[in-house]
Amino acid sequence: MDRMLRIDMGAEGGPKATLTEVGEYAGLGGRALTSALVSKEVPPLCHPLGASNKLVIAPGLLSGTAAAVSGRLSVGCKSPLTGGIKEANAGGQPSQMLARLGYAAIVLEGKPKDETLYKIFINKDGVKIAEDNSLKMLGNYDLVDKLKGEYGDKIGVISIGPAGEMKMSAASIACTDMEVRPTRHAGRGGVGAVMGAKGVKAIILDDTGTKMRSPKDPDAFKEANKRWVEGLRKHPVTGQGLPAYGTNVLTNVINEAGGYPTHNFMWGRFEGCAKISGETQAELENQRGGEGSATHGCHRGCIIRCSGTFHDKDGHYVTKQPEYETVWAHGGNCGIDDLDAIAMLDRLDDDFGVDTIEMGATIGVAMEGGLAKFGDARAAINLVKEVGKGTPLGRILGNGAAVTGKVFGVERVPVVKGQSMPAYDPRSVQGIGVTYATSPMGADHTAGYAVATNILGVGGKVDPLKPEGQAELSRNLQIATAAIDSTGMCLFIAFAIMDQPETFQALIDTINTFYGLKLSADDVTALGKSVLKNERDFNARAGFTAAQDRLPEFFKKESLPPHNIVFNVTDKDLDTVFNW
Amino acid sequence: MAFDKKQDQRNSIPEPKLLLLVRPELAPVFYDLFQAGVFVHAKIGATIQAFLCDGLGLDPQYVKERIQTVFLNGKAVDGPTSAVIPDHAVIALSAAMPGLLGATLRKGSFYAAMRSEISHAGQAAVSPHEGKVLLKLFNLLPGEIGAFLLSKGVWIKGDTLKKFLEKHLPRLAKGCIRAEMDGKTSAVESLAQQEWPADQEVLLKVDIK
Repeated sequence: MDRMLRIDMGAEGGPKATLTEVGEYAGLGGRALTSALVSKEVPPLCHPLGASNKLVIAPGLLSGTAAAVSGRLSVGCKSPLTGGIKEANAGGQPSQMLARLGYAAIVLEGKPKDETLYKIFINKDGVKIAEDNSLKMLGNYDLVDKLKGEYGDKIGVISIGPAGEMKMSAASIACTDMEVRPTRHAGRGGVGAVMGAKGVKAIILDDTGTKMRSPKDPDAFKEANKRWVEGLRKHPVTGQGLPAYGTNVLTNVINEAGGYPTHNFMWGRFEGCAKISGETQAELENQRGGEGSATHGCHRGCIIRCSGTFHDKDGHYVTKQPEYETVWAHGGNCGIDDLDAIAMLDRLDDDFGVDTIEMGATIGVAMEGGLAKFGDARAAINLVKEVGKGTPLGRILGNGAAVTGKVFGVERVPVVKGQSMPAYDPRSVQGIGVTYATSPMGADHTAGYAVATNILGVGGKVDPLKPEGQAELSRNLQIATAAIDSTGMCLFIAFAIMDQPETFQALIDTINTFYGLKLSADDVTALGKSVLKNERDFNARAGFTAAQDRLPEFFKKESLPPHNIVFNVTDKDLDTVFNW
Repeated sequence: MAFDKKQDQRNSIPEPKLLLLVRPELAPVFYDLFQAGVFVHAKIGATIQAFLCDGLGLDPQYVKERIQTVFLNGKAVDGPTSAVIPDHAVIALSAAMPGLLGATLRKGSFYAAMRSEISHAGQAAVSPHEGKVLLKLFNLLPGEIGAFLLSKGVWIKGDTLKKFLEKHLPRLAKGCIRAEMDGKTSAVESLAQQEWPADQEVLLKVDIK
């Protein structure tokens, strides 16, 4: 991973690829690289869909190695949804393949002069960019099938669906999984619209003939990775809970806590939650697809295997196991308690190429605006189909909850910096509200997710049983998350490294032995801080102020049943989050 | 499922008893019931820890290490040894959960400050007496202790039981070796068809062969 592939999509005579050294970005991966590059090279006041924006696609530091669960791919740009900097990441095969092909990043620059659509093929022999207007408006599933027919079934694909081509702000970028299905999405912030604006429909990767990346100290790396794997396997979350039930195992517990946003954040509990819980979903998947259908990895080298496969009642494949956020967004948030309908919505989202969180939140706002009744699964499916067809209504919905709320005069619109909130109500768990408000990414549950601050020791000690310290905790979580996002590691490793200091050490040792470094926990913290500094600096130059680091007003005014609480962290406290 | 405050008066009416002997492969079907909750006997006024160890008979080590998340009436409990069970309590238990919230909701979590608004605080003393609580089990716990609790017997509202029998009838018919209703052998199909008083609790005991 010592080179970058820059493609000027607006070059005279057609797109032009240039190989460059990583240069000043050496030693960075994943989010650290995308945010450093965007912050340095993209004019903060540029139009996100214009020629000056850049789309950066970067594997993590350990992607393409034998390190377990190291296959996250980061995508960065100026976001058309938030207007600020964006990093969205996804699992699937492309991160491992891109790293094995030797690229630290692909950077799409410029903008084609017309509506021509391009595909980019990358293998060990180089890069080929070709016009292919036959791909126009194909859904991701048909697109990948067509590409498999042309390039074989050993490929990995990074692609956009019709939503990306139509430059919708909810558009995602799809990554294929181990079965070469477009099920893993860099969903947040409209990154798919930026890829669409660059005129790129698909990047096809073929790593045939490449080898796994070699560590500096192979024996020590092997030993560290072994400890790393053992640590993940023995932990009850990464070794048992997630493999058995996936992330949707959260539904029952968040609902019990009264923090499960229901009917567009009106209530904190959903009556039909047991019908769509992870436990119910896993039982249904195993029943329909055979034992083991609820346990599956999204990329080679994943040992957590939190995914699964959802079949219909006749045993036909519908989609991958919908994740907690998706089940919530299209389920409880819209009053829908039918797993088959939710799986169909997930399939449509993946096919059209839209973020499931943004889409579910948007449908919730649309329901409140009178477009459909809460609980009407058929209507929800039809609304998402409008997005895929690109009807005028679909174009509104495809631009997210904030736009939809404005168009239909809805006051309760759960967004920060224009991005929809995920599946945790900030009134019941106020610390997460601090992260929603202050993250440079907009409302994002993964922005402050890496629950390893106690191990990292960032920001000193906070008494866990005192209500003070929300800002400090949020800051520390955001720092730890930014660091992990840079490694290419799945965020779910956070639980094992939180509870098992020896597993955290194994992770550090894995990085050190691979690169021949002597990183300490302090260095990891410094990396996380530098990422956040780059991102906040970009946003400040893009015009963001403390006024954007706020939750919507209704969270302070409307109390949330059953605990009947409002968000009460003060603006003054929110403004201290990044005092370091 | 709301806790029925009139249940105490109805306890004087003999409760229906349903005993099932089932094949092992049928066990996961019953875990469904624990998500919505089952009623079990409890000493009201005792601590959660006493309820789990002395009442349910769980190993203290299992309670300490495996039951990472405890809710009492929807509030996250940090101290099971001090949290006291009031009348009409709903207790929910889970193994360790993923996600930031999963970590935040754990008992004694490092991140407890983030959910202080929904943390269980101390309550007024409750005079000790016998009663029932609604017990919910999530995540890995139904698979680990569900069968044990079912063999001891749990109470379920009639309408909940009817829905459960109807929903799982094909699998129950296949995996149930013997069914006894109030001491009389019954076919599972007829149990699913019969009328169950919606608000009356039924004692359900399940043995796995």
